[in-house]
Amino acid sequence: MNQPSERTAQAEAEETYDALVVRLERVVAELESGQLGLEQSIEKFAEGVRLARDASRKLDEAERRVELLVRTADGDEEAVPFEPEAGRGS
Amino acid sequence: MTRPRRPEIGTTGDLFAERERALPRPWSVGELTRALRNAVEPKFRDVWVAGEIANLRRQASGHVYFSLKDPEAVIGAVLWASQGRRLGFALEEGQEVIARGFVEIYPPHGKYQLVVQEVEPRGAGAAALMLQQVKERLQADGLLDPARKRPLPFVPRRVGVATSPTGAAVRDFLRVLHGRFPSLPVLVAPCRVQGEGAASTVASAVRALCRARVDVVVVTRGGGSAEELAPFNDERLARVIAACPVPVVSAVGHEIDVTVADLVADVRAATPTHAAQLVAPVREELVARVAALRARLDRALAGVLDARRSELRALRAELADPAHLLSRERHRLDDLLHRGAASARAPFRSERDRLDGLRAVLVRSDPRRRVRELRARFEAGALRLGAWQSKTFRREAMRVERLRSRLEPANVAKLLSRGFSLVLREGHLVSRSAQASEGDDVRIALGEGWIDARVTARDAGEDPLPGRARPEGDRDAGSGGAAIDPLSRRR
Repeated sequence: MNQPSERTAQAEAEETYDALVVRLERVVAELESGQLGLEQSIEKFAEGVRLARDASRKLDEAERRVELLVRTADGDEEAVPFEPEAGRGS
Repeated sequence: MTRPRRPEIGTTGDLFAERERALPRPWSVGELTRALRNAVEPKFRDVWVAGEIANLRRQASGHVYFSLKDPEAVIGAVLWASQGRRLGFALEEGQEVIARGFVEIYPPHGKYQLVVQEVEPRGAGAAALMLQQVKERLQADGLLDPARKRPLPFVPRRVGVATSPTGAAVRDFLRVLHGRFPSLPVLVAPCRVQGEGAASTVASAVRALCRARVDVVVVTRGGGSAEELAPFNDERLARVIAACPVPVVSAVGHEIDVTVADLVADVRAATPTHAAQLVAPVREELVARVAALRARLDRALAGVLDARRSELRALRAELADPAHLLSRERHRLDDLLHRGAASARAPFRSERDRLDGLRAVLVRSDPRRRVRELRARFEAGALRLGAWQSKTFRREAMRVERLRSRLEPANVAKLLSRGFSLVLREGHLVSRSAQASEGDDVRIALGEGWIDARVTARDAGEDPLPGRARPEGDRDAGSGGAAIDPLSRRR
């Protein structure tokens, strides 16, 4: 009982922004149709709120990082902060 | 092949035959030419030849004859009119070109020549040749198949860029990208984008990005000359791009430049900034969209709750007021009754029926008809009256008769009891003396009993009661015809 819901939660976390939004749109449409029972409506609403929160988070959580891949002395690759030089205002 | 022999007179052909057989067998020109043709033509069915155009001769038919030469050699060439028409430029004397075609040996002239299918000017042509060959090989491997093109992620979690870290391209790209989606992470894989060996550095960069976790790879550089863009036509780079596990956007040079990298990538962008637009959506729009959906979600739930709440309220109101419930039931019952009555009336409801009914009423109330009816009734009554009259008459007559007949005996008996007598002769009443004769036997009926007697005398019949002194005679008795002397009885 716990296992599948955990997996679902994890799957949701893995979902891309657009997948989340597509699901959110479907939930909203279902709820707007007014054909659901009260319990179902509340469930759908909760799902929609969760999806909206996750989608927003996906838009927010991205931290602006521009990095440059560099090769280290022992041949590995490493990402270092990168600021394209000069001409930024051009 | 049989060789011609010239047998000589007086000699045996055998000796000469021996000698001839010892000689090497000569080829005919045709044989040799055919043999050369068979040896050469299959090997040079599709060749690219670079050289300078010389001896250009155009025929009226449209065919073009020329030579291709370089410092070492010269080869005749022909461009048939049908192919020549497809050429995008005019051939000129002294022009450096690359020609594609097949080698043909033409026995009647004893010459070989290049039958040209395509020609391109050299320089651009050399690159074009290489490009063409690369394209053909990639095509053959199915790497240019449109079905291979993958869609870009709607919002990439991280964008990989293979480009020069110092070029304008990366600056333009990042500026536009972060203008649309300010917080989008980017990983830049540095490479050289022009010059000798550039292609392999680009390929390494793309491979490195594929290993790093990015959702999309952008291969880009700014505009440049054909030579500067040449690395992006490299076949190995093309194959690295094709093998990339995530979608690749190629944005090399300006819009007019189409490189092999562009062809093999999933999406071709015209410029670095265009690539940024394709890769990143506008974040504000996404935020607004999520917010709008969230608001709709709230409204939708509120709507559901409102609907349920008002349902509940209505139900509760009914519960609270039994009269209401009753009234509703009564309404229902009424409805049902109405419907029942209506369905019972249904057969008469049609307008036709109604009309027929009205017509019947009208006919009944017609005065002429009424008069006729009354007359008929009157006549019937009169008839009956007549019948009644005659019938009554008869009945009354009969009744009188009957009464009378009943009356007579009663009177006789009464009269007899009062002392009158009846005289009967042979059963017949004797009311006049003339009815009997002397000596007749008569019976005299009395009030009680009878007497048989014999007529001894009789008169002529003038006075029924001789010797009678009473002033008022009993006319009735007299008229009764009884010839009985009442006094005689009293005596």
